[in-house]
Amino acid sequence: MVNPVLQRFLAAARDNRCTVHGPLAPPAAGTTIASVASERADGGEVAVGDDPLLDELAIPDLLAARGATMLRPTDPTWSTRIARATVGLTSARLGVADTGSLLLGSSAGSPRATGLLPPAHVCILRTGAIVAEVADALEILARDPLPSAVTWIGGPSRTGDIEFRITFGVHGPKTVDVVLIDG
Amino acid sequence: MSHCLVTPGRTFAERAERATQNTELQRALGNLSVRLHTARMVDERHRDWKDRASAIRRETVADLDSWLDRAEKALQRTGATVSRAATPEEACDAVLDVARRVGAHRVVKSKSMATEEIELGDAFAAAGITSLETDFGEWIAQVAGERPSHIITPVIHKTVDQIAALLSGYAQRSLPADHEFLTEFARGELRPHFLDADLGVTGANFVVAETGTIVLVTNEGNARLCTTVPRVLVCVAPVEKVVPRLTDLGVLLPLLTRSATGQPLSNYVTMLTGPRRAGEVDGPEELHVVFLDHNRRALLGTPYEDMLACIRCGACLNVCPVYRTVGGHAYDSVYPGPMGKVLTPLLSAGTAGLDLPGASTLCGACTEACPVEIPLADLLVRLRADLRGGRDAARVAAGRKHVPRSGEAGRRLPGEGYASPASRLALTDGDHAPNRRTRAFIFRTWSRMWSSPAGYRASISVGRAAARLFGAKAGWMRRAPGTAGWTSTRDLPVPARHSFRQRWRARTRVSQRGDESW
Amino acid sequence: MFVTCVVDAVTPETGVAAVRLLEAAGCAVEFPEAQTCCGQPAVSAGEPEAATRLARHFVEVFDGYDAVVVPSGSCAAMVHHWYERLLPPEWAERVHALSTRTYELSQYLVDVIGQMDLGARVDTRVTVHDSCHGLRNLGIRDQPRALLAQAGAAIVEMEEPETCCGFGGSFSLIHGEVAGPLADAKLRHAAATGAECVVACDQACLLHLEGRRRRTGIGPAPVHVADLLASGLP
Repeated sequence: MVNPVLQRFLAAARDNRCTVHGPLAPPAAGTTIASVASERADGGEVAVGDDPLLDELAIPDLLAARGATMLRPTDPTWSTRIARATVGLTSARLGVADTGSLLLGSSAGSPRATGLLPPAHVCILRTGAIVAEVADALEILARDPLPSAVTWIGGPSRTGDIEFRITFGVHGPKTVDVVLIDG
Repeated sequence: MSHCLVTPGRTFAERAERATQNTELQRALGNLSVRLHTARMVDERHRDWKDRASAIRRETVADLDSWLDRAEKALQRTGATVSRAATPEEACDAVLDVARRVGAHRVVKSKSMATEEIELGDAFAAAGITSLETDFGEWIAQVAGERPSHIITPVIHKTVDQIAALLSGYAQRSLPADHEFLTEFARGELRPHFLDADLGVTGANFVVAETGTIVLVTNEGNARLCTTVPRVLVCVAPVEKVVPRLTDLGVLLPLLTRSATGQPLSNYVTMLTGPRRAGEVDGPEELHVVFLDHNRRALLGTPYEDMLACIRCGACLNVCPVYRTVGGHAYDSVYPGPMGKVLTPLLSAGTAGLDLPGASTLCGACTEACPVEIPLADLLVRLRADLRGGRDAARVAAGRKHVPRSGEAGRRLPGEGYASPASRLALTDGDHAPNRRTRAFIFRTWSRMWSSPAGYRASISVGRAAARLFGAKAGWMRRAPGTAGWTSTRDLPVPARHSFRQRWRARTRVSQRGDESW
Repeated sequence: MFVTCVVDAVTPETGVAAVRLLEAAGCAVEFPEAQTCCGQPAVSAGEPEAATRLARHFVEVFDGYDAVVVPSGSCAAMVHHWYERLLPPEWAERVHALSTRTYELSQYLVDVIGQMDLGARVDTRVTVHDSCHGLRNLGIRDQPRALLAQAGAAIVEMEEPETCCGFGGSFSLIHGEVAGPLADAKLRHAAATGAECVVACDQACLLHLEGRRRRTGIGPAPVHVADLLASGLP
């Protein structure tokens, strides 16, 4: 069964230059996440948040099995090591189909820098968390007190400042992988 | 940070002349044709968004003080500190106070026209604090010592070759004129500064009154970095950035980004609600918001308050035939293009920008492109009338109290019976008074003469005779006294041997004899 | 008909052409001789008192007519857009009524009386410049094209037909340094179409373009739509 909102999201995310994986069911999703993250890590550290979803999918073990090390925000040396991590693994609260946006909320367990400082960003999103339009996402956000930061991400960092020609990876992540999980 | 222009000059005309002769600038400006289409990005939702966005902006402006109060309280509830600056100097002082108190020495700034307006870079420099522009285009402008020339793409006046040459000088080695290479170079250069900075400074695209949320609309990631890494963050927000509700952004955000760059949404939107919370490991520990007035609230209740609806998308710049011909530096203002031609004389304290409203063909492309339906061309016409009087005329005219009804802003142009404070002021305002009086006299005489058919006919005859005297041939003149503004670039057409009405009369006489020919 | 001061004094043949076209369409044309100028130069110069005086005169001259037809988009737009803003509130009803009966020529022929076939034959390759005020204030774009197509003209669209030619009233006198390049751009776009002439509904635009063309030699001849169509009348 084709879900039009999902289809729109897929098209928009690809337009934004994201690499989209899935949708996948949980066991396959875990393997894909770990494999994409360790590939992007290219020997460096994988910065993660304290997301129960990661443990549910057994990501720490899967990463370790691939020889990738994880950097958690609870680590006392997090603030110096985050700048050297090569991939940030986050999960998104919401997705917006019309614009292909991923919405990330900050918290003690989910630092902002995870999806920002490392040159690669891998983001997990449940298909059920995708809404149609920007207005829909805002309505959901407006229902509860806002976190200290809500960051909407389209894809890799970009600029058109030279002659309007778009180039990527100017300050933020150079690559964005989206792993969609069913449900 | 100095503010050199690639097209310097004392007046718009001088700078524009230089601009049309600057071949590299003209080559760079050719790229603007790409953006012509974004202003007309019409989605079936576009009309509906425009209507709703216009309504939201007018709702805000109609009650700006009240929304500002609410925003202030909401921000304070989030743990941010708020100050209000009446002038650019006060705004700079507020930011410097924070910097001094926290002992900041290394500032990273994301793109903010408001901080350009208050000349914050200069204030930091004077205080011995290094402040680095981190937006790619703004950084290039900073390296060049130049003013940005466009409110969205700061160095669109430069070609890739010029940028490569500039950054080669900076890097002390030869860099290729390659877009990707130069982007990667900037990333590498600026990254250590982000990590090392102790103060971040941004503007604000919107400030949500209901939740105390600061909204930043970006593509590069530098604003995210400025608001994540440094311990302290200051946001400088002009008062009209206030937006009532978070859900209002559902219309304002996509409209802004589509009008600015054609994107359904910018690559990043950052919504900050207060400093970091307990337990968080990044984000600013202190968040300060400085609301900037700078004569904006003086526009409330005047026909110019419509200008406060502006969401700084830059669409008007992209479609303006004048901007596309001369580029942003010709305006010599933080805000170039149509919106700048209206805003600059209204905000400026001195004689800045008084010749800007005249620098428009009034084609109306700006009015058409504006996503929040500001009648820019009409406001320019109004300014021409109000500014006749000289430097304080607009402010005095703007201070005239008048209760706006929705949609009324810009409705009536001062006409007969309008005792413009500007005109009273002009009589005592040195420089401009004689010119203004002469001009008013000329137009008064002309309009009186031309309110009578006999006077009109007589003056056409005089014009016809004068043209013959000055050597008109076959209906055209190459030059004539007082017409240099036209004849420097074009031949001037002259009155025909027989006017239409003379021919009509002749035909009427002829037809009375039964023949309808001309 | 409101012939406009520019057409009356400088290009009277355009007025003649307009009358011929209207008569070919079956209209009875009157020319109230007391007419002068719509006041546009004063508005663009920021002299509203002068503009108001002229607006008042216009309203008084044309008050009684069923339709006021104008061979100029910008003058018709002046009446539509500015008169209610210039004249005092007591005049509002009168002005509103008059402005709803004031039309640019091609607009009148196509939209009001629905007469596109005037019996004109024009075997010319033309390109069209969309004069700003007619386009943006009155929506004039399709009407001149319909008339030209009906007459058999081959219309080739130029790049950016809607971009301003650079006239802009007082702008063209004060800022020749920008008006010249804008005219050049328009003439270059027109030339690129291979058209024999560039047609518009506004003599202000056309005279400005011709004035520039006489200096540079670039671009096809600027011609008013009325002149071109009337030249093809039997």
